[in-house]
Amino acid sequence: MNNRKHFSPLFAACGLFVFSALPMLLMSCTASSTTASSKEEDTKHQGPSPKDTSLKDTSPKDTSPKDTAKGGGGGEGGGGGATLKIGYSDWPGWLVLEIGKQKGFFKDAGVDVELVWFGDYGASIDAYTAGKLDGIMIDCASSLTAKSSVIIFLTDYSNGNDMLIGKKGVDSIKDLKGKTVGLEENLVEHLLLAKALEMNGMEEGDVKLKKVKTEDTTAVLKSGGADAIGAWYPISGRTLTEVADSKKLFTSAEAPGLIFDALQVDPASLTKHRDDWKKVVGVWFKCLEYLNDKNTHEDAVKIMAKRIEAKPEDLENNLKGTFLLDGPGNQKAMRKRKTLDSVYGSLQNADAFYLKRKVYDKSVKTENMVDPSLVEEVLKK
Amino acid sequence: MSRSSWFAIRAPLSSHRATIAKCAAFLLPLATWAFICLVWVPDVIITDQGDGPYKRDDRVPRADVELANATLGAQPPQFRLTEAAWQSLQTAGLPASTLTKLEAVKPTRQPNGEFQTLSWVDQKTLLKDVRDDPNEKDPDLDPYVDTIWNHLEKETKQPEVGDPSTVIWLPSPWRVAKAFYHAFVVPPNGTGYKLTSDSIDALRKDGLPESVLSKLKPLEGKLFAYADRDKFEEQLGAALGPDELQHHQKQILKRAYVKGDPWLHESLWHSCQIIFWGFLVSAVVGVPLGILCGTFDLFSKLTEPFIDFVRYMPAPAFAVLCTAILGINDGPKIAIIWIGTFFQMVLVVANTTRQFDPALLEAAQTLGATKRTLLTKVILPGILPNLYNDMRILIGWAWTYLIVAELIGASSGISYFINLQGRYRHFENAYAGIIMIGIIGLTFDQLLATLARFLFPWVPRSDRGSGAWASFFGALAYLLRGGRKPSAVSDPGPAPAFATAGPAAAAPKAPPP
Repeated sequence: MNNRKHFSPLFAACGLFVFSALPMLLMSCTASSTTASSKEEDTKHQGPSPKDTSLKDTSPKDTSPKDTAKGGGGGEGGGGGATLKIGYSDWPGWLVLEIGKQKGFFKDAGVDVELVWFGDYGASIDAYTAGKLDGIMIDCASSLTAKSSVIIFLTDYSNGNDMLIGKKGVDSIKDLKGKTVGLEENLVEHLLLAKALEMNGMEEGDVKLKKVKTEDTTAVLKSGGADAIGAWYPISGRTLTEVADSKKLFTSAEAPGLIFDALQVDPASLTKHRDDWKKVVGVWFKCLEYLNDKNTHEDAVKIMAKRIEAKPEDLENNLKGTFLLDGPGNQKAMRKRKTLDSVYGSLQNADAFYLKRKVYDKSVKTENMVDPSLVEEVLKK
Repeated sequence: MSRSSWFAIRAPLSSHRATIAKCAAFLLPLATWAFICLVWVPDVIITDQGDGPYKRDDRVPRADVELANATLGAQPPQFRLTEAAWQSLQTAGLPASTLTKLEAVKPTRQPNGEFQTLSWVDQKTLLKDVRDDPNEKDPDLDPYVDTIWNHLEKETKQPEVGDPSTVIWLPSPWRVAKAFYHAFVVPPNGTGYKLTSDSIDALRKDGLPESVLSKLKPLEGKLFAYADRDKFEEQLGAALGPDELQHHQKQILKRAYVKGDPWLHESLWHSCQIIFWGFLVSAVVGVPLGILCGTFDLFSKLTEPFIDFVRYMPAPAFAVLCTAILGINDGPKIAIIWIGTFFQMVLVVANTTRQFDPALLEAAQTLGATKRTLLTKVILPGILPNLYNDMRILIGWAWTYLIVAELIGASSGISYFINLQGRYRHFENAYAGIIMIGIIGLTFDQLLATLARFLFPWVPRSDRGSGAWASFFGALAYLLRGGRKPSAVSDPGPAPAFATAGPAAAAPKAPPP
């Protein structure tokens, strides 16, 4: 005669359900409240995601002192003091900004910029896509598959520093018929390979692709795992020295404008902190002047080489493979044309590449990805 | 009315209720996930890019989209050189030299048939872009700029449009289900049909007559994507007669098939093979060594300290080393699985062996067993059920190293798929890939668990098996035992179907990285 009420299992199940849903419900409440409040110019809102008010530095190996103007003497640090996080990696065109970091140009311009170093280019793109960076130094083609961004200035176009390297016995692109090429799929070197094949009258199906991370390409070519690899300087430089009898098969110098590199920015960040980003554009031109000035050129190269742990002479020899774009160069390349001398044309070409490779099935409106107005305003002054 | 409660202490649930609970184990998280995706939709998934920067299918916080649209609304209208405008310009009476210069800004036809077009806000910018030198007047362009401008289509800036969506890293279960289906069904890149000279030679060897082969010659070299199979068959039908086609179609399709990237089921199978080989290589040395360590203290003291030391070294750290030594194909992947599994295996097996009931050993010695007999006839059969469970758990362990292993050297398999989809922000595909691994792992594990019931019938279980499964596995176990009756060894302890308890759990374990 047990009249005690049993602990109803249904009640337990419901409790379990609510208990597990509760944290998510709480998160959704906080998310919608911050979304509502960030409609105005919110100085605390630094990144694209409303929950990320304290963007942790996830870069793997940045040991150099961070450049934050907070508490620093000169410069007023912008109206709201927003820190702009820009991710960069080992491409000569992007190392130029390192000059600004080391020489304090960002501080002088009054903008709080944190340059976040990435040893792995792909990881920097992933970090931007994950919302951890406000700006990313990226080749324009790859930005078509990353999170949406706007190009505010071009750093350079690749003029030889992206290349396909063949092992001993492989002498030209035509020799690659039926052979294996190791590179990162759908990244910049893949675009280069497609162009090389097109210019040699071959088809994509004529070579076999092996998916290898760019930093592993040296080891792969050395061990004979592939007959050719695709990489950019400085990785390509290492490959050419370490692998005996390896040679360049095709470089971006044969297709200038195929690969443009730029600083791309999260659209919301650009709208909210336009003045700060304009200052960054100004710093870029200042760094370029520092590099091109005879008196300071050596110091500039030294700073850049130190970042990638290369010898300054080595970097000096390879600088011409990256055609840096100054003010007039930027203006020329930011004209709206469908040819490869314009970044618009280059983007259209990259869009066609991705459509052919079925990375996506609808065209991206590449025209909306470029904002030349900041460069215009900076140069007018 | 039921006498027993759902919460009876140390008593099993009735089989009916057990089934309900097991189903709820999966349905509850699924329901929670679906519920969250219905109520928490702070982002917008872009369906129309309009004139803004956010690409289609990008998931953007609602505030950012509204900000972008507000900015667009404030901008002046633009004048676009559409395909229609370009066509009308051809008959506008412009000189050929002007039209040639305008080719630099004309619409571009993309591989999928869409057009990429350009637009300008005023005539000055148009001229600057089309001229050879932006600052010098061009006699081919400047006088005609009004005519050109009149043909351009005026547009106001269109806003970004999208649907409410969950945050990008939490796709809804129905999206993931769709992605699951698509991942298997969509043909991978490079797969298709192409008649090459090699395939025609192969067809010749197959016995196709020369008359047919000569008709196929004009089709040689053209690549048809897998999705365009009908077009290929159409072209075949046009080239050959109807009964020639019917007779030879299968053979031609077989020989013309071009393999591109692997299909998803091929990737999964490849992953399974890697796990299998890695695990096998571990077990061949690991299990005997573990048993020896558990039986003889000398082996234990000789090998376990060192193995315990190496066990803490994370397997991914050896990735680059393995690539350098073993190349870039399957070698380093199997090596990573081995590194991750072997050291744990030895310690776990040694522990299981040590847990063997010493009373049985003493009883056997009383009956006059030699050391060899003790090892082979007492310990080995005795630890078999627990050893089996250890192996089940360790296989699960090996699967967790799969992601790391498959990304080194030449990336391949399911992990590459997951990673690539994550990079493209198609997280539903990444989730689908992860769930696939989970399903494969669980199914395999449950098969092994059910098999255990019949391999080791002397082990007491809490639930009863019946019917078709029982007969199937009973037969399988009978075959595996070589037709012998199971030996009557007293059980070393209960081994529940979902095993995480038991001696294996007591062994020290470092969590997988």
